[in-house]
Amino acid sequence: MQHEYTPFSRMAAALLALLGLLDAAYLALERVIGGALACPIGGGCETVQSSAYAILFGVPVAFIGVAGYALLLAVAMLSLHADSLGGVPLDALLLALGSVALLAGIYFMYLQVAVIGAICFWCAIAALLDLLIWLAAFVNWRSSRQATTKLLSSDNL
Amino acid sequence: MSTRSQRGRVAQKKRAGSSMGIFYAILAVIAIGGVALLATTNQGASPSAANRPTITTTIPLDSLPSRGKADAPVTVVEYADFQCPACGAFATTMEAGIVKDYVDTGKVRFVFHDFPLPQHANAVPAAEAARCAADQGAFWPYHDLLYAKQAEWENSSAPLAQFAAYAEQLKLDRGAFETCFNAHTHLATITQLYQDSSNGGVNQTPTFAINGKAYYANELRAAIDEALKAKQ
Repeated sequence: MQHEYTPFSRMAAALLALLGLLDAAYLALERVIGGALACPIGGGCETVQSSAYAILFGVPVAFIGVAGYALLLAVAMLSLHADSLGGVPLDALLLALGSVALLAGIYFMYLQVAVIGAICFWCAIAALLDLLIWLAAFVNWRSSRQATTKLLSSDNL
Repeated sequence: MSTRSQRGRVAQKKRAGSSMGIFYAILAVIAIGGVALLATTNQGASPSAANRPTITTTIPLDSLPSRGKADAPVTVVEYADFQCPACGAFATTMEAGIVKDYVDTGKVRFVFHDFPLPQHANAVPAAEAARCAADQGAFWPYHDLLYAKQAEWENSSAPLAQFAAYAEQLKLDRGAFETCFNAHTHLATITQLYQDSSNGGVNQTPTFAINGKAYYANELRAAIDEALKAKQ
């Protein structure tokens, strides 16, 4: 199977990371403003966001999410213009960050379902985005590796 | 530049050069649209009475716990849930100031309308406990204590232990309090108040009703001032 090394998977990762950033920013704002002022009826988000698990190492998870998605967005955008940064291949960095995000997403979904017993819609969306970003990063990483292999073999190296 | 990099560039230019423009356009639209949405979501609505959500109730206010002069010019009905963190934040940070400036000065009668949200497992027991304290004339001190100590009992599987200890702390008759609580003396009332809130158009707590219009904690002072001005 031949794969062209196109930028589409990196574009997809960047767009998904932007959506994740907005999602996390909404949850962070809720935490700062709305969440402190109202408990909406039937609000799973409020239960999840007010649970002890919404704070990690003293920092609200929503804030960590904002930083994480911003980093993913930055790396995805950068990878559209360069292949490596300071010797670090960006396709691998994007996949590594995407993997961390996916593991975090799985962990937080587990907490919601098994421990807190309430699902927060916007947290579930974040986990879904994590999965899609990981898929995009993986496709990008694999395509870039295959492009390299193809190039190397065609150069008879 | 590495060979891989050149290969990437060539592919990019050849196959996707024009798609970069489309990509940036989509990125910009999502970014601008998202920021606009975020900005409107958290905009504090104007406290002006026009276009406020309407709250109706079929419960006579005199039957509810209240503080302040009965004939005060403005009546504020707080719809709240003892386990709601936002109600706790209001009770522990803003309420004392409202009571000092408006209730103690005779301008406002402040009424408490239970609205225990279904996602809070201990909200109904806490509301029942507060009513049992009210039977001994201690609704407001008990209300203040429940909110101040919310973290202690919110996730408790048997909150009576904490509730009874609070009753004792307020020098209430612990035996009578426990009997009242265990018999669910006020459960029917609390259930009725929940229904009334739900039917009346309240969809979050704390919600404050002034003249049948809904206001939220951050708008309360401005709304009270406006209602007082209208009375003059």
